[in-house]
Amino acid sequence: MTHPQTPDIWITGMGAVSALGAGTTIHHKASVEGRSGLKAHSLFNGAAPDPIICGMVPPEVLSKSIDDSAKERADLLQDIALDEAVAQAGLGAGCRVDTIVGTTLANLHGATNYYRDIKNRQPADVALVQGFIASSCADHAARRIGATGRRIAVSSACASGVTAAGTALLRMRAGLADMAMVCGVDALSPFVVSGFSSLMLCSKQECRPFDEARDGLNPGEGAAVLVLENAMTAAARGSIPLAKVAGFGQSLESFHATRSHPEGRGIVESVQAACAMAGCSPQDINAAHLHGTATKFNDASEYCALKTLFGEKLPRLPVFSTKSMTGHTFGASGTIGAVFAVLAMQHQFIPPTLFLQQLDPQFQGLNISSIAREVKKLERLLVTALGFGGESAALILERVI
Amino acid sequence: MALKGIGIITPHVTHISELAVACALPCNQSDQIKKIPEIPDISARDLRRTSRLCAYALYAATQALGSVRGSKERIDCFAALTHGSTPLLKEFHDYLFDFGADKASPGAFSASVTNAVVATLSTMLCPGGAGTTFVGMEQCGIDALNHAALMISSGASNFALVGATEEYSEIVEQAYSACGWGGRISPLTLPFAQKKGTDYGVGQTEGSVYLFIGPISSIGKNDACLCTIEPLEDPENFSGQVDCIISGANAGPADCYELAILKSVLKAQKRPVPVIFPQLYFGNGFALNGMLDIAVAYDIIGRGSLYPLYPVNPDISQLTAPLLNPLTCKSSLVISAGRNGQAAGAIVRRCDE
Repeated sequence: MTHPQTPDIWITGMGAVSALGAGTTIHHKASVEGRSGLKAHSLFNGAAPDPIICGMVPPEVLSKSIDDSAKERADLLQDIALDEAVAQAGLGAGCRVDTIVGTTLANLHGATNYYRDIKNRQPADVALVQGFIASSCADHAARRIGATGRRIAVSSACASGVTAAGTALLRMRAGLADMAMVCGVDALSPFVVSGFSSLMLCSKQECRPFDEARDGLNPGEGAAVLVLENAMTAAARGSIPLAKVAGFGQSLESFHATRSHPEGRGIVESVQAACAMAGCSPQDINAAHLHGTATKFNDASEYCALKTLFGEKLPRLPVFSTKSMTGHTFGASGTIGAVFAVLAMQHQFIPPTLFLQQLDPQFQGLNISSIAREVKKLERLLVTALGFGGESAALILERVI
Repeated sequence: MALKGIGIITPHVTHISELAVACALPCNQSDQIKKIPEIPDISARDLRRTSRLCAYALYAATQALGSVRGSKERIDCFAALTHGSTPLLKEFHDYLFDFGADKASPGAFSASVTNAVVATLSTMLCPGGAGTTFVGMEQCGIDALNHAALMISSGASNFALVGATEEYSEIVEQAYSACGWGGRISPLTLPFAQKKGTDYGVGQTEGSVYLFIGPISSIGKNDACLCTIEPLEDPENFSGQVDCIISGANAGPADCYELAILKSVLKAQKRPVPVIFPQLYFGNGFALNGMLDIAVAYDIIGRGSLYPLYPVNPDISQLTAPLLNPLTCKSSLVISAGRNGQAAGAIVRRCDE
């Protein structure tokens, strides 16, 4: 794969909302303090295991309960992250900016309620049906800020957020757009909570990525928005870069519908492709935000991939997973991970992997900690994401000095 | 891009050679695929275990790949859909509502995820490539094509399988009927017609169309297709000359956008150009529409097939030609507008152009 000279792409604005609360400042503070947003909840009046430990956005953040916001919960979460990111980037109404959304289910909860009403022969609100088509989130985001660029929704399961960032990056490098809003979003719904529970992938305790006693994930919800800009037009506007999006790679493992390949083949290929685009090698990466869902297979696959990629460097590469802070936010997880990665570079620290008590002995040499760590010269960070169907995606972010 | 292969399955079409014949009568009711034909080298057992949505895509993608299948070439997969596998979502929710969370179906859950098509194609046809699923309105099939072309032109991909798939769903049909956008049996109306009563529009269809594309340099004499395809993100600004136009208008909510684009494009043509409305014959397949229309374009340009013309809106009738001569048709513009106002297009040209 060859990469002709292309413009640098900067992140000039970002926003986030999750079980930790609303705003990137809160996410930074939670990382430093080692605070988790995971709690036991009773959800959906019996249409979900009860109780379930999950990362639900606090009700006071949306001023609406999870049931009252069924029709448009993903849109509401996205709005919060979008407003913060757009304000930071200084985007005005009517700006020509692409809107690229990565989500697995958009506003599916509303469609669930529509179908339940149909089934119970109750009057059903047809407007609920449109919301679960993922592009409705892109349309909503573009309408909110008056953006006039292309609106695209991509879905690659839990790698959707990173895929959305990669799609924006490719379009901008090809000159199809100078600016893009990348939105990763997913909301809790009966479908996703019951679905993951039916696959026996959920833990009855707070998740413990890479721990010897890990036994599954905690469903979560959230949104993160990154504003990407062509560096030249950004500099001309006086924008301050938060980071540079240097590389993107993706792969399909062709292995299993819901499990990743034991050797993490997809992650290896994705990271290698991202490094090729960034013009660096894995040895040049300073730290990594891992997918780290705390399921038996995912963490093992990811570790194998890291060993293949980094070899003897692995013990010197600090890694972390933030899913024990936010829960697994599915399509939003990659962009939320990117926010944590940028925060890490900004403040020169490695966020904690909470609830890790005893590292699984098979993960020899994994440089991971349950407490936040200061580092020096954190300048190039890797973000990985995996999804059902063998999806893998990787993003390389660099500090702009 | 070189259009190197094309595959198709709809309720009445299992090969490109059957497309024109299927336009014998306008479609005014919804239809479903009765039986999926055998797919070479895919066992009946494996096919039986594949969801209908994925099976449609597998059939069309296998046909598009042709003899390239099984080669060591890296082929990336891109899929477009609007509603995905709504029947499987319904099945999951039936279990959930009837029996509670403890009995929710893991099979229905994992098979109904949005990226199931890409995962199936990757596992069964093209191991080793990358892939993305585009979810959106009627134009998102061509959005996926646009992205695949971008991946190839940037050097990120060598070849790509790109297509759209849609599965019929009673729930979707009822919802759209409630909005007045077409029902199971509805009076067929002209594209761009004013809404009358509570039912208008075409019925819902299902199926899949897949294209196998590569860089222009990969065109070879042994290719099944000798056409090129160029995606457009702004068909409304297209001012080039073409020999025919294919519009996705289907007497539905996106018609106003289709009409606006048609007016703009037709005014830029130096002579009247025939306009074809395939959805009136095939039904509304949402994300499938644009890709199906590309198949029609290829069938006219690459195979010389004849398609019926339908009376057009008076606003554009003076700009359109009353006849289509496929023998002189060397280029076609395909327009696909979504009901959210976003449009996409593609130009299909014969290779000797």
